[in-house]
Amino acid sequence: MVDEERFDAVRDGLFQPESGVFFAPVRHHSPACAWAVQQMVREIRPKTVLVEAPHDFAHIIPHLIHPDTKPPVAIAGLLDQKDGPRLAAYYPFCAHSPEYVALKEGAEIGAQLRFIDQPSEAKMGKARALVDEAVFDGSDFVSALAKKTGCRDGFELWDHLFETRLGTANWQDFLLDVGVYCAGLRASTPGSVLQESGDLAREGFMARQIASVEKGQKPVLVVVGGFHVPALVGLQQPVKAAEIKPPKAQSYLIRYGYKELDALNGYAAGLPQPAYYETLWNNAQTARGTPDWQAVAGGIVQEFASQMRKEGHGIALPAMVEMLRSADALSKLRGRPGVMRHDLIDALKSALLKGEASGRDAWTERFVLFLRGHSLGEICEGTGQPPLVADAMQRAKAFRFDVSDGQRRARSLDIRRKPRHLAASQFSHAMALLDTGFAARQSGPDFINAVQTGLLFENWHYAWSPQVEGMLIQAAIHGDTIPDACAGALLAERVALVEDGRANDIEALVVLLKRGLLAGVGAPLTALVGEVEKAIRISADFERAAMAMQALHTIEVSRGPLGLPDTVSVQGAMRVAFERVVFLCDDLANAPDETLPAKLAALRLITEFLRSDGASAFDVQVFDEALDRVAAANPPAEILGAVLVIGLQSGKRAPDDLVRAMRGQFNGAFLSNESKVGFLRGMLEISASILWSIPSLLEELDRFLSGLEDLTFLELLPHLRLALTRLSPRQSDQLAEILADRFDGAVSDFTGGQVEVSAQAAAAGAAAEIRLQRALVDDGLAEWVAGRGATP
Amino acid sequence: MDVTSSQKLTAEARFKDELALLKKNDPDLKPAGWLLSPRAVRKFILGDAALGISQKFYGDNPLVDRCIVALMGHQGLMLVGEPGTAKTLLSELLSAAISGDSLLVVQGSAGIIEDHLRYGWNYAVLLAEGPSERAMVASPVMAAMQQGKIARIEELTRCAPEVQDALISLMSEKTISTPELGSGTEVRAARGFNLIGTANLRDLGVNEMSSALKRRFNFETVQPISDPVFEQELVAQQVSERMAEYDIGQQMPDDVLALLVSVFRDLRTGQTHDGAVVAQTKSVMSTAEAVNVGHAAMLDAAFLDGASAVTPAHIARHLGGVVFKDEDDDVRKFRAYIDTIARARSRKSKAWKLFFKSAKTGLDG
Repeated sequence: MVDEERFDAVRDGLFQPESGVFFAPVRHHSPACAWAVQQMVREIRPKTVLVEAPHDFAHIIPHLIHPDTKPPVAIAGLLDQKDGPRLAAYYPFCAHSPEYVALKEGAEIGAQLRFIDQPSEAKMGKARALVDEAVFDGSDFVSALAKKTGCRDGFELWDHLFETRLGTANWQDFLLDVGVYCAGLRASTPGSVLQESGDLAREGFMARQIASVEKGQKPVLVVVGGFHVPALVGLQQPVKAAEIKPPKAQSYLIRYGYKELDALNGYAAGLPQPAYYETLWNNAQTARGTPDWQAVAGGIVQEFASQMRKEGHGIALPAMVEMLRSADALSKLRGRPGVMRHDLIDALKSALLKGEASGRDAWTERFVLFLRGHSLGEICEGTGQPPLVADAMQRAKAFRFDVSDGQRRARSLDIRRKPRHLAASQFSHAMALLDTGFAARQSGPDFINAVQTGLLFENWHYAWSPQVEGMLIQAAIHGDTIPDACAGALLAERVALVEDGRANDIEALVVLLKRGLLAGVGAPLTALVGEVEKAIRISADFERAAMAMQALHTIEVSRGPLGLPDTVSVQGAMRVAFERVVFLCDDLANAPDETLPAKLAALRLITEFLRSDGASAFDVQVFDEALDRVAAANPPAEILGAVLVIGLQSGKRAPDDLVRAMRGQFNGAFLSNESKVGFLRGMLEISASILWSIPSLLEELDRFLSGLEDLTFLELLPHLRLALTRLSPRQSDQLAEILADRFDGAVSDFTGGQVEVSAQAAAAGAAAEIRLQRALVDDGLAEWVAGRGATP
Repeated sequence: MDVTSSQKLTAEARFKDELALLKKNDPDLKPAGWLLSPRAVRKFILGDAALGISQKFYGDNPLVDRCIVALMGHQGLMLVGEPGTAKTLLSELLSAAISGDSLLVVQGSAGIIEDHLRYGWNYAVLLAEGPSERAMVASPVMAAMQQGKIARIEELTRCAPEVQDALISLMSEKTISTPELGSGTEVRAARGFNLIGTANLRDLGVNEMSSALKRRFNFETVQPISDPVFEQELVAQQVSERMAEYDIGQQMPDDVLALLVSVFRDLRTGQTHDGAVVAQTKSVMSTAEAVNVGHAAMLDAAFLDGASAVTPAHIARHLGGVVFKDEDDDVRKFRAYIDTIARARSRKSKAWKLFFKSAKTGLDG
């Protein structure tokens, strides 16, 4: 078929008054389409309204159109598989969805309302969104047309061609144009893609549903994704109604939010930034026709400015004016009747960005967030429990929690030895993560803060209550099973971190990861590991990167509660941490004094790790090379000491190097004497035994100390003590023995032992004490004596 | 000046025919003082197949829209971005299309004084006749005001802050007062006047713009070329243009060219084509710099090494001049790149192996 014929076929078949079939080709969440559908229903007054939605969701229609239900809401479908995870998918509705408007308007005039798509199970597992419009943004037809009209992508093109016609009185022409546009989309989609995506099968199913509408139930209005219309207008042979099997998936109406709706649009499921399109829709409704575009743009800019002012980002009036002027001029330049979304965003960039924009700038992000909105829907009562509640209940029972009443009970879990107890613990952690108030840990290992991680038992208090159900309903927005919801909740916390300006807080991210592990979230944690990886990648802090490496290693080797599931690996993140550590090594040479203890500790951590079995995957040589560079770059004495010891341990340096360097430090000219001890401290931080494993080192130290003047020695003493605190008591003894040997003495000469005091001397001492106290009292200093806790 | 015989033609001379064609086929409304309507200006820059207008600026169509719209308003237009991103080209094209004149330009530098933005004097006439319009020498900006045209200021941030400040009142009042000619005399901008500035905000040695001045400009950031294939073509073409004058008949082999562009893109964008993340350097890794490195490497190969063709080793040697110019930190980033990305690639590709070895030697001495 040549293109013209395709277009004609759609034009001719869209409205068939003689057979009483009217098609409304739509795009999801398009206010312009919703408007046309609204006018259409009011004019043709159909007896039946058919909507492209899984027919097994039909039982939800009464709840969906209930006056108490306020969009955004979604129908959640849930499918248990024999093997494999439970599948969930969503069909969202907002106030300006053509499907929702068709149902509401249809109900108003008493039309029969039906869903005509294949049951939801057919599409589940392929996507999280049950509406799919990838072709609207990705096909060759769209790219070519966008290029021709000067639009940057399919979204701008759609707005340019169709949303600009919102409020048109001529719904026929509008829908004909949408139909032709979609015919173009379809013509540029290869047949094999249609076959594989299952579109052809779905269209066959829908065609049979349409054909099965009896004459008495006509006229019939068919609201379907525009992409299917070219196929449906051709499939009009009356056939037997499709056989309807009992549904396999469960479905529920849940509250939905614009945030989630926009996220779902990541799956190419409709127009993005719903708050913007809702504004257009509301304006058209108020105006009962084409909105006053200038007023719409002015309203949006003004509201944005006032919201920003509240958040502390004031926008000067001239900048607002310039933004509006630019938006208006841009829309005219681009040949539009009014300012559209892309014009606004472009105008914002022109008017508010001063300076160089890199990637995503703060203003654009704020504006896009504003255009997305925060609306949360309401659902009427009696719509049934969302699946998450049922899932939680089912799991609680399976893990033998008593949920028959609201009684608070205690439960002790043997998490290391009994897999079922571990699963119960994961469930409890998950319920805590979802903030349901179901379970609270009383005692047991605290893996998050690494306290008492060796404990075998976890003790919980738990109780099921309506509050728990309420919280679960709130959490249902994150997912339909407990692990899914946990994954979603973790993601939300991750987003909160970003909004908090802590996007790259590695510690916080690792905590999220650990909480996910404890809650048994499983495979979805891969995304979180990716976030950790990203944060490490840009970490500017040697200690943090080292800490992250250590934390990831701990997780990797953990078994039991903190153990990684098979589906999640932290190897990649560890590799990134290693690369980052190597990269940041060069900073060590310029480390400020106050960070030295932390840096030394991190160096020790890394070397210990790199010498362990877990490090075989890493190219340790690169690290050694980095340390060589540090040593050569005149680092602080502490770092030099540490780095040289590491070099010695890895066999890259001779003991003499170390001795020579220490001599250099001891004999060097420093501003303060304590700097001389820095080298020693750095050395000992990495390895305490180094002192006696290289005899000449001890000799050198001895020579240095004995050469000191008494005063200098006293001055150095606290620093020496600090350096030597790294020695364990046993190591101190060992050192003492070596020193004793060296000076031909015995250890007891150093440790002092017991000082023998004769009875006589003790009595004399006591008498002297009493005399002293009396003298003080006589001098009127009794209080002072009393203050010291002694009585005369 | 006879522009036809100069080294580089102005935009309005180069595209004379296209401009004439657009003018003939321009049904849309023109802002006062503009030679073409905004839509025709857009066509001139982004091309129009129907009229046979070539595309001259690539990569970011909405940016061009915003620039045109900015120039229709009271704000000036400030093009910022890395060197080598065709800011000057864009400003030249805009002024050629809008005013038919891209020569009203002030080249910003530390030596610029206020007179260069306002007016100076022909001292011989001044001494002979005293202050008069005849003795006055208008700056390109003042000339643009008088003629209702677009004036361009290149590298505005290279001018001293006090000189930049002269623009503040000029931009808001759109007048230059000329008290020497009598009190109350001034030059008022004819309609159509506006300013396009280009600036580099990241280089060392540039002066920060005051926020008062910033407020009077709409800023647009010109990004580097995003399409790798196109960038590769552009580099190949420019390198061979430069090499033409040496008459050695060498071409850069494809694998070397791909490697060169890949290294620059990786370090510029912070991501390799297969998704591995790389630390971005602060130094400019623009297409123009890639051409410089390619050029230097080819000269090295031909004249110093006597090699039959340029190899990745030559590229590695000359990267130093770009990457290490002023940032120690960049050396580290480059080292990390060599240690991870280049090392991994060197196991699979001969070109990368040569590059890796040479770069490693260069870094470790």
